Amino acid sequence: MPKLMQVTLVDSEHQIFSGEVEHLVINASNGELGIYPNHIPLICKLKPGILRLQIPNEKYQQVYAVSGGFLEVQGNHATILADIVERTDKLDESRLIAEHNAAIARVKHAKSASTPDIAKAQIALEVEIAQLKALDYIKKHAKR
Amino acid sequence: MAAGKEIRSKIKSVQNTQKITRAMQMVSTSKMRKTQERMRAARPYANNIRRVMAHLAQVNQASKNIIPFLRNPTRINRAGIIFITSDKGLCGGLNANASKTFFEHIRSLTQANIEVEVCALGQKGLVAANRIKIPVISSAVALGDIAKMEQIIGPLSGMLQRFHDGKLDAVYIVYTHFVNTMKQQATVEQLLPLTERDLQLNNKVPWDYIYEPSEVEVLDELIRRYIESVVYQCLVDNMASEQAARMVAMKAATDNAGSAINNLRLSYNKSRQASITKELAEIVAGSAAV
Repeated sequence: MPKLMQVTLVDSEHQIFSGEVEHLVINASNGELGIYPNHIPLICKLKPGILRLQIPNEKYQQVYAVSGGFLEVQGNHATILADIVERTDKLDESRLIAEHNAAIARVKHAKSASTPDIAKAQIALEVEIAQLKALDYIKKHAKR
Repeated sequence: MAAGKEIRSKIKSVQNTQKITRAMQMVSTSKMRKTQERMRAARPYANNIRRVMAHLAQVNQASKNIIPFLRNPTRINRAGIIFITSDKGLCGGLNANASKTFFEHIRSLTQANIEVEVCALGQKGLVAANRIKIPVISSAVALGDIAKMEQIIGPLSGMLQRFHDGKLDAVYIVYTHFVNTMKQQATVEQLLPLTERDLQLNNKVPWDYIYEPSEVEVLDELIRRYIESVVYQCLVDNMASEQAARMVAMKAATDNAGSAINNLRLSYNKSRQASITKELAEIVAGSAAV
């Protein structure tokens, strides 16, 4: 039984990660999912959230903020087709907090407007929250 | 030497034009390289999503009747065309050729009694569609040199929704395909209903996935993403073509300006020589008279 599995992380504009990992944790539409080698074929929608990759021989997990998309697992190969991915070392906390507050304000504002606006603003807020969570996770678990 | 001065100022002005065209040529050369890189960068997503979608469509033959994006209308009454052009001109025959292909396609559709509506990506295409009074349901202009996915999702979703709701029976895309630096090909492709090319698989698969939340939901969403990624690819492709066409056009303009300068310089020198000869002849004639 292989102890590692292949992971490809792509968004519509580039390929972000490709390599072997011990396991990964991702925020699927029905909750958090941990995928280990030899998982049965699975395809699921993703919610905005963090993606953690455990790379062999590395003490800390690699963390990405993913804004939605799909996860496909098949033949010991996981493919993440993400909408937008940000690597956590590229995230800037003060900017995120500002954007987070702006997103909250937009949701409040949109409540008085039409339904599609609310939905849009809420998704934007979820993305911001996911990015903040990713940053928090890193602060707690890893000093890089 | 009035004629000489006029020619001199003309040479100056052509030289200035030449400087501009040479600068534009060099700018588009470097931009072309960048757009080609983007074309390559976007490929993994498109390939992966196509593989997953083809697999899903093949395993779920039964879902063909449930999922709106997989329906295959027997009769086409109304079609949408996504027309991709550049925002700016000065790129040779690029947009003219794309418009010609676009008009021809519209003509062939209207001859078959199919109504047409357009989603225009790029300023030139929007102007062309408005000129022939084809209804434009959505558009995006000022896309810049670096295509961003979020710029096209908005205008595209309108058209996808209309196919989803059964208001459109087919969607086509017209863009300029980058063959190589010297050759760009205006191309029409069918986006929806999905063609065999989109759904073909190399090997038969006997197994199925676990779906979360449900097959229908996943497949529906996945096809949307697939179409978006195809359109994105076409847009990036079009941008690479634009820069290549501009580079070639500006190179030709620079060369033309060079030969125009040579001609002007020749006539300038001729007239200068003529006036010197004339003056000499006058002096010789004058001294002979004394």
